[in-house]
Amino acid sequence: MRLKDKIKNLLKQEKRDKKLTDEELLEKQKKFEEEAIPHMQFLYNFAYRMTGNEEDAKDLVQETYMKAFRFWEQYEPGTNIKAWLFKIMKNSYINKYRKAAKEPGKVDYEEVKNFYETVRDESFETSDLQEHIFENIFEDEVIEALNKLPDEFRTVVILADIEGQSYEEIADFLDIPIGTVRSRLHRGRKMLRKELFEFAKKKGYIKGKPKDYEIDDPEKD
Amino acid sequence: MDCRQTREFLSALVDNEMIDSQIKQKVEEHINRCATCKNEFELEKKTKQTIQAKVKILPVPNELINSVLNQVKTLQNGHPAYLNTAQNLKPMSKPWLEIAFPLGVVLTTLLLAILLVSVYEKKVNQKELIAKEVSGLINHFDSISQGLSKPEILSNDPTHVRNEILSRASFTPIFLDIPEFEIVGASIKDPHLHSGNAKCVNLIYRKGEKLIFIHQAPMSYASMHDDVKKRILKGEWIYDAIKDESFAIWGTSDLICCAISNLSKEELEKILKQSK
Ligand SMILES: [Zn+2]
Ligand SMILES: [Zn+2]
Repeated sequence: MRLKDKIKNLLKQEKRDKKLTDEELLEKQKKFEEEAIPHMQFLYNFAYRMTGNEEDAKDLVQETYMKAFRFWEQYEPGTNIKAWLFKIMKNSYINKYRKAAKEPGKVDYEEVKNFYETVRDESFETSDLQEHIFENIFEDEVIEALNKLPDEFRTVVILADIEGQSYEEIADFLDIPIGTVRSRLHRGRKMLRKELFEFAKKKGYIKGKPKDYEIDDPEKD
Repeated sequence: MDCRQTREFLSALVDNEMIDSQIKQKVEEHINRCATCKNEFELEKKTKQTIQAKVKILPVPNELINSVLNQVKTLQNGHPAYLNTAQNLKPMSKPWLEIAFPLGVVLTTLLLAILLVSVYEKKVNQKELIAKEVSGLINHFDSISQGLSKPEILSNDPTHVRNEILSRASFTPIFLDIPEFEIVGASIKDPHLHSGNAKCVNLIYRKGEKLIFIHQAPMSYASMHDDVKKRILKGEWIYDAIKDESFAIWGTSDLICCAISNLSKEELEKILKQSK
């Protein structure tokens, strides 16, 4: 597929490159396999959760590894290879899936803000309702809810809650301060909860709108 | 510390992430006297637990690992300096192909597959016709013909392949008799549907270095252009669905079938007509 054309192009480029000796080439391949391949599960799971299907996830991971191999000289040994690979993949993802209207890599802050406005100040679940929201929730529904989050929020939730990465790692992956990781994660989880609430409502566990359950809490969050 | 400030640290508290111990103390104090923030904290914890419990880490598909490793080798082998050192060229590991096909065939198939794939892609883009289905199928053909993934069923005994398929598939597929071709394997892996129980069946026919995949699925699961569907239901065998030399699609009221091969359009059409 597209991948095959890319291989062909890469081969052409590779041929134009400075000639390495055979030993250097083998060394390069060995180092690459030792250092980069072990992170495939992390990358694959992130790709899978972002694209929502196996084929696209495989494509994305393959493309990432090809680029990584191609630009292997640019990786500084001893630095965070996982973050390096992640950033390559994130760029590929953005290039492929961003909405045409948006600038590459830029969050649509209006959209995020609107989404956030609808969530904020809605402490819509009282304690006795929370069990109804979380009980009988299926994997599909969690995934669907996750897919509704804006990318910036989805990313941190996937990294923290599915992939189990630390805030420090996430900050490294995304080039954002730890404080931003904290607040995005808090908001991301809250948005997700709102979506789960909608499912619970659809299934009849809860009646009404989130605001019917609102606690008077104007100052908060 | 007020509610707003507290909320900024709730996630860190949920995740047991390091925060300044003074801040942590203040956050905890606030939570202990503010019912709303406490509720918020509990809910966030519960949300995290729900995500963790429901969404599991997936294993990396074997064919992905293999194909990445093979691509790295391909890139490496493509380097002119490297090509000259024969002792470093290890054959790709694809044990299943060595069972079914002589080595020479593999290389030919690989080249053909690359050619076919780029042709397909162009056509698919042009017509946007059953695009997702076809590209998934071609991926599958591609990875099998390159030895990157192994069909679940593989045997020199066509009867064995038939029996295996019949016992594993969720529907009864059609076994075409293709003159001079033999069924050497099959896979039930679904290359393009991501939900439901629909299992596609791919029968692999071989004659020398010629490969034909017959892909079948229940009609109700196939998504396709209405025009194409109408033609299929009329009993037509369509060879121009993606205007390619080696893709054909037809069906019955129950089943949708496609053929993908490394033959020319004329040859595939001729062979399939003899096969009916
Ligand atoms: Zn409070
Ligand atoms: Zn199918």
